[in-house]
Amino acid sequence: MTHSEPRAGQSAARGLNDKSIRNLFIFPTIAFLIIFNIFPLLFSLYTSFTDFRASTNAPANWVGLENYSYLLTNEFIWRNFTITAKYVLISVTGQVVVGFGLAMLLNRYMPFKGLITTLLLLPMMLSMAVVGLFWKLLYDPNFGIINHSLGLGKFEWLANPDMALWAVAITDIWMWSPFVMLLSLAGLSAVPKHLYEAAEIDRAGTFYTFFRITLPLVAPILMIAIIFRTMEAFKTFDLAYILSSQPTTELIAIRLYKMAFLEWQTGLSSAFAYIVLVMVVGITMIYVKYLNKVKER
Amino acid sequence: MPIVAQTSKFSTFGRPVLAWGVGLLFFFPIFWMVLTSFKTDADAVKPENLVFFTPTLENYFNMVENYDYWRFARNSIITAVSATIFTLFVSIPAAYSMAFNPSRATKDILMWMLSTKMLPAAAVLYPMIFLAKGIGLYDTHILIITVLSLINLPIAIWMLFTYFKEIPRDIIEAGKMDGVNTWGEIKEILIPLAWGGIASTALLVFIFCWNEAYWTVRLTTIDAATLSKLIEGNRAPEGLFFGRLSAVSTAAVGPIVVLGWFCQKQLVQGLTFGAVK
Repeated sequence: MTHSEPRAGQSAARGLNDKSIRNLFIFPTIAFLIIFNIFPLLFSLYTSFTDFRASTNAPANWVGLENYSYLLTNEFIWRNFTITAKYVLISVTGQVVVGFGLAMLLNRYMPFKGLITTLLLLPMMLSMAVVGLFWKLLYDPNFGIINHSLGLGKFEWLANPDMALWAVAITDIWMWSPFVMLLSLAGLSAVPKHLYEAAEIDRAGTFYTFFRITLPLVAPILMIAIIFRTMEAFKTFDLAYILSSQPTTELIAIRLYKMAFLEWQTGLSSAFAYIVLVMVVGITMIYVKYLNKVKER
Repeated sequence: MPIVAQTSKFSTFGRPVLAWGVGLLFFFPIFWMVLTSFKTDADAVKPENLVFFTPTLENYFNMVENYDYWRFARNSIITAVSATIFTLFVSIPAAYSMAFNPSRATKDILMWMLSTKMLPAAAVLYPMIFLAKGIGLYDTHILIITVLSLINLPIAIWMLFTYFKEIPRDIIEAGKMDGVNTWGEIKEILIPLAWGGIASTALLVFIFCWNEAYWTVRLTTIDAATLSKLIEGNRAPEGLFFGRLSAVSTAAVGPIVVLGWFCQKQLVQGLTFGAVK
């Protein structure tokens, strides 16, 4: 949809018409993204059909679809997918519950509300590497403050196969609940007041008001938060990699990294990456479709 | 903002107390990290000595002397600042043209840009290392700046696009009528009007660049190594060097936390895509 066609004479004075401005301005971005995205993707696509190992100088041999069939028929990557799905579910659900709860709590006047908000914003500003590093200290079974203050003795968090994934998720929830809170607060402040007044006149209960007024009206913006957090949780690497080395916390990104840079199975890992990519694109398309539906309401 | 007119005991006393409790609980890990950084390694492993200890700067001196903190910090500043500037330089015109001269492909381009962020980084890491070494840019500032810009470009364009779209088109059109050229439109009309949004975007991009730990760690060795690399190099076995690790962590995130504290308004705006004014 072109808004206004350039008028003769005027366009000469301005030097550029709308269309050429458009192309000229977007071109650098697209070129930049293509160079750095398309090259690695094509490179990976090629190596995914070979037995290439980046650790040796041996030339790559074409193996056809062997890597793909090996991966898709092996059980181990499904374990990584299951772990990732579990992690995404725990951590995103936790963030939505805690974040939305915080927003409901803070959605009133109270003294020093700004300061509380600032305190809640701090975790988000830290780097994953730092968060991983000092939460490891907090979780330490012998000297960590968590066990000490909760009186848990020498409870193992990160070295415990059953607990490690939860521990990583708790850290992620701590870090990103405030993000969900911010978006929820934005949504809450946009709910028209008269709806609540009307509900009160009708003597509607708290639950009714929450599920019929608050939640539906905050849903679209909450959905944005969920999409962002799901995408990030799916890709989680640094946090889990630094915090725990348990096989039960081996997320897809970690498996992929190990395959490529510890086992040096470059070809195989490229095939794995492509399988993941197809999945991510699929999930995102479903999400975006759903988001557009929510937006249209 | 009182939404329901009821005033119960909960809303007068319980709510603020609970809010403060949660706020402090969230703050506690950070407080603990900073506190531990002033303890000796021996004091740091005694959680029962909560706040009763002799504060020491030993960890910080050790960090500056033995870990070359300033070199890492300098690299972090150089790369994060340059990448932020470069990202804005590329993304402002792109977002401008998409917001005011949209085409049928605009929505698809935006989606495509966002989708480049979805690929697990490990999938493109080896080709990037290969490329970087091939053109002789491995472990250089230029490479890190390029990669950081690349990572943040989609999000910057999305944010700016959202802000620019809110500017009434008439204002831009009026500028055109007055014979202002495109560059003038951006400089004289767009940037002043969208200043808040641009500042928020810049702040957020800067924070992301500063905190980036995946690429910066794996594409550098010494010359361009940032604070993330320093952190990565200090991962120790459990129960060791608590004080030292806390000091390194505190020094790595300190600048960004101070910056975020003072620019909180922009930060909130940026994180909520302008939904919170």
